Amino acid sequence: MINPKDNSYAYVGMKLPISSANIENTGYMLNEPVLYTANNVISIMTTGNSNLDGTTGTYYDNITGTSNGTLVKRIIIKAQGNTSQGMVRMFFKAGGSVWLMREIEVPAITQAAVTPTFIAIIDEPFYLKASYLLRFSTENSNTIIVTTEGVDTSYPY
Amino acid sequence: MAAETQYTANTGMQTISTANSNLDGTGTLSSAIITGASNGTLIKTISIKARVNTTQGMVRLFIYDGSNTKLLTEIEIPAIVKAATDPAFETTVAINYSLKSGWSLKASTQNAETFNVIAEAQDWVYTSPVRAETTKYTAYNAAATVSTANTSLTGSGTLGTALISSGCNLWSVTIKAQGSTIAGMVRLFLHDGTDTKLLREVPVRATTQSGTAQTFYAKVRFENGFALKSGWELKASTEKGEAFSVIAESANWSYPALAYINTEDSNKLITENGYYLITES
Repeated sequence: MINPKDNSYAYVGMKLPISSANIENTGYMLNEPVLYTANNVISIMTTGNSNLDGTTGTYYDNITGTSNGTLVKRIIIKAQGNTSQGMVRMFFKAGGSVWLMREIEVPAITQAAVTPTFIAIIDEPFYLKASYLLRFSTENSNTIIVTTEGVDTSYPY
Repeated sequence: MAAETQYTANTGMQTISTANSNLDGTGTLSSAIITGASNGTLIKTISIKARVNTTQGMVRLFIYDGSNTKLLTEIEIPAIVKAATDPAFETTVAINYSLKSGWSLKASTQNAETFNVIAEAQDWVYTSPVRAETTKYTAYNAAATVSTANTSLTGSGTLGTALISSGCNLWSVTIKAQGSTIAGMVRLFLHDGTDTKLLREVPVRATTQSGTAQTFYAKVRFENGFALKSGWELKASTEKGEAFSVIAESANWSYPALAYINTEDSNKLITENGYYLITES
């Protein structure tokens, strides 16, 4: 039986959620074989919403946790055209409750053949519980695309 | 086949405040912060959080074997003046100490200043039949909004419950203001069902929210995670009467049950999901 001392590779670049999985490099408490399934969600936002409560106005629900949880690895926020100074907001939704989680400032940019549109990348992995989701909004009515790169985790055995 | 090791989160905390300059284990020590379980307990980290101003001094950790008390380590305490916007002294020390069954960890303070001493630990047991890979992790998030002003560092007053542990590894806590802020503090506490003790303070800076100016944001990361005992709660408060989202990211872990399915082929196991596993002898 292959019994690796280090299974951090299984977390696609993330540090192990459970540090004790590798206590003193004994190899004890190794993880069950994990099945990862890519999960990408794209939301195209166009309607402005200045609210911070996560419930009033127009929001765009994005990635939802599944199975044993979804590891949201990266979130790419990219304007599809010109932007005016504003904000993109990210909310955490658990059941019927919503919490403001993050704001990303959007600068005013006039797109041209040699001027790229606004882009922001949130490169902070977040482990999302099954059925909970991330929701987004845009302050101004600019077209902004939110692409999340996640992996669903499950245990086939 | 070796026995499988299974871990259970264990957390303990005590408050110390009586001055004791002794290094020999005499004088006033805390009650047991944590006691070794049947096979022992791995103490991963010790968090020391002052509740008051500190002067330069020392917090000492001792091991008590039931009869004798021996100095384990010392943590230097700097002089810090706390305020509504300045956190009191706090530190987390990784000690990775395996505590024998029945033995316990205690603490003392050089100066008469109040500290919470919080041990993050894991008990372990051995089960068989086993195989090497048996742990499952499941994402667990929870959140709360705190908005009622509370200046207390003792856990009194209004707190929000951000997470109730069923034996989880706390990975991060996101703190996000829901509007403009003035300088203040968000505090994180641990609650064991009876007592509530301060774990962390997060200074909040003044911000004026608008369509182009974001509100205050902070993320508390627990390096290597924080194993939180089942039944314990993560709570939060705000110094000022302003609303904050407090969002916890954690992972529960479990050990799937295995059972022999027949006596003719005793190396064939079936998991809780109905899959067959072939073990090695």
